[in-house]
Amino acid sequence: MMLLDAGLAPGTGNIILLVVGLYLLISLLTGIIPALRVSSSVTGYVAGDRGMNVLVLYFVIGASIFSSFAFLGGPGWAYSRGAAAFYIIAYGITGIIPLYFFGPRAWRLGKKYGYVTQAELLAARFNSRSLSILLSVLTVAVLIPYLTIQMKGAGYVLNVISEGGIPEWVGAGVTYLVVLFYVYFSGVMGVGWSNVFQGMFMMILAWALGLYLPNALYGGIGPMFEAIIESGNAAMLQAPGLLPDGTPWNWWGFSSAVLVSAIGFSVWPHFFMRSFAAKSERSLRLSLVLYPSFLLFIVPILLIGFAAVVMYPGVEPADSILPYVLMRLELPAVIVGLFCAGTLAASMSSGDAILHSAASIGVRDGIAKIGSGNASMSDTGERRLIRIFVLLIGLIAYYFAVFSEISLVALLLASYGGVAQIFPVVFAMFYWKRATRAGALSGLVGGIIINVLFLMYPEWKPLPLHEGMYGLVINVLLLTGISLLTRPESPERVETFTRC
Amino acid sequence: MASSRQNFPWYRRVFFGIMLIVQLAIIWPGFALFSAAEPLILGFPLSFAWLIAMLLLGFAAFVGLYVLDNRREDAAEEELKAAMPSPEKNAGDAAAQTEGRS
Repeated sequence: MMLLDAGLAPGTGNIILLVVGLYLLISLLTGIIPALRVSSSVTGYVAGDRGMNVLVLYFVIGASIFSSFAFLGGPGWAYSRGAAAFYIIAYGITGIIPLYFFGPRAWRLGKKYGYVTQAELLAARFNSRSLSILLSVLTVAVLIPYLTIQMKGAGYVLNVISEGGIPEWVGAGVTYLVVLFYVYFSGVMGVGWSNVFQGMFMMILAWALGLYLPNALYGGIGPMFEAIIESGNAAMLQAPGLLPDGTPWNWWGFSSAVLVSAIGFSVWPHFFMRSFAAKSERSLRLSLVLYPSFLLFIVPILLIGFAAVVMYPGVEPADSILPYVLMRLELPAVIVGLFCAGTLAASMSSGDAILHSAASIGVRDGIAKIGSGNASMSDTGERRLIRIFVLLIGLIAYYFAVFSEISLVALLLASYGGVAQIFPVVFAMFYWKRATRAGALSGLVGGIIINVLFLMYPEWKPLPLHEGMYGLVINVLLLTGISLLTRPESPERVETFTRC
Repeated sequence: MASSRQNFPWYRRVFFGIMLIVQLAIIWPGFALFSAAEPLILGFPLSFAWLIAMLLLGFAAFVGLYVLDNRREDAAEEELKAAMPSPEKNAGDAAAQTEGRS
């Protein structure tokens, strides 16, 4: 909090920063306090002793979509690409469903055999340490850019709101110091309780601003869209909207992007592993069933972007539209401060979960499995190593956020295609007895290679589909083909998973 | 023990049917039929209103699945309790039984 007080403008600036500081303090407290009640084991740190209730689980699951990508990128897409932004809502509608079926199975196996990550399940089903290591490398590789984007978002908002008073490196640094603190000490329960606070906070703010803006600027949602149509922008409201260069997006691109993201959604490792933290099967299923209510909160977020189309044309970059509009409305400083904190909440509630999962998976599925098989790590040793990884990964992401110029959003969207490749293997784990280790490994590796190949050379694609689709086709072919060509695996082990 | 029929009671089939329709309605070809900007429905462009309607339909179907799954689970538990009257062992068995079905 000391850093925040340095060098601010007198008057309103003070109030805004005071509100933000207060928000950060509450986040820190809600994140730290649960540490007192969780056991100091790895299961306590990674899966909250399998004791998360519906309220916490609902917000942890919901926060995964309410990232700074949704909070800043959502209005940005609506503002610059119109109906293309519907993609953000569309893939979650069906994307959540597989987890309703996978989750309780994972939960039962976890309770019985002590699993806390997705890779542990897969490695046990396919009797393969390389599968575990491969998945941990893939996970850490996609989660670091994801975390970096969250940090950038936080630094960016504080910078714009303070009108340059807080440099981005300070904004991102202070915000994520708070996150680092409670993730380090409390593990997943800290992530959980702080997400409850942050989630409620940003939901209220999203609705308030999403309904207020169209009313204040146009006199209602209908008149706002009428104004967009009358201003000659009707094309942007026609699905599937526009491409970044302003030309219409095609159905191939939109449909395959929605499908690949929906398929990948349930198997994102940091998302999937929350199944293990649930208190009971029913609380897990209920929090998953309620998930679409979070998608409804994307609607007002998109309205914020649409509200700016006619009033504030030509803002660059489009992602800055939310803070841009906020600074131009004559709002009381307290309100601006609250919105600023809301954006931070979106960033932090995703960032903390990502940081925690990347460290847990990197250690438990990667490092711990690389060492010689018989010398397994002690529980305390493992937890200590996970904590060191929390610091390490936090620092790496911070480095990228502050010093690197790579386009991370592009990288993140690309990673959806890679993550989707985990789906066929997870599905086969539970539902296809005949799947073998060779089949799973070749499917996963083949899918990822094809995905990366078409990502790097898009001109090789026969149709303008998302590269993840091609990866999935090869993946499924290899998984089924190689599995059928290799000898079936021990029925005892397989049935633990297919009949659980 | 669990036959495919037990795993796929009628309402699960209905659920998957609805979700297939929802999925096709939010990408090509379903969405293409309702992709226009006008007319405005409750103030929202047709395309946006259609997407929100599909979101609500999917949500309702999901809640329905949850309610019916729980009801079936409870019924199976009751049945098992009634069938075997040794209380302690029974409770464990019932839990294992009901867990075996999602």
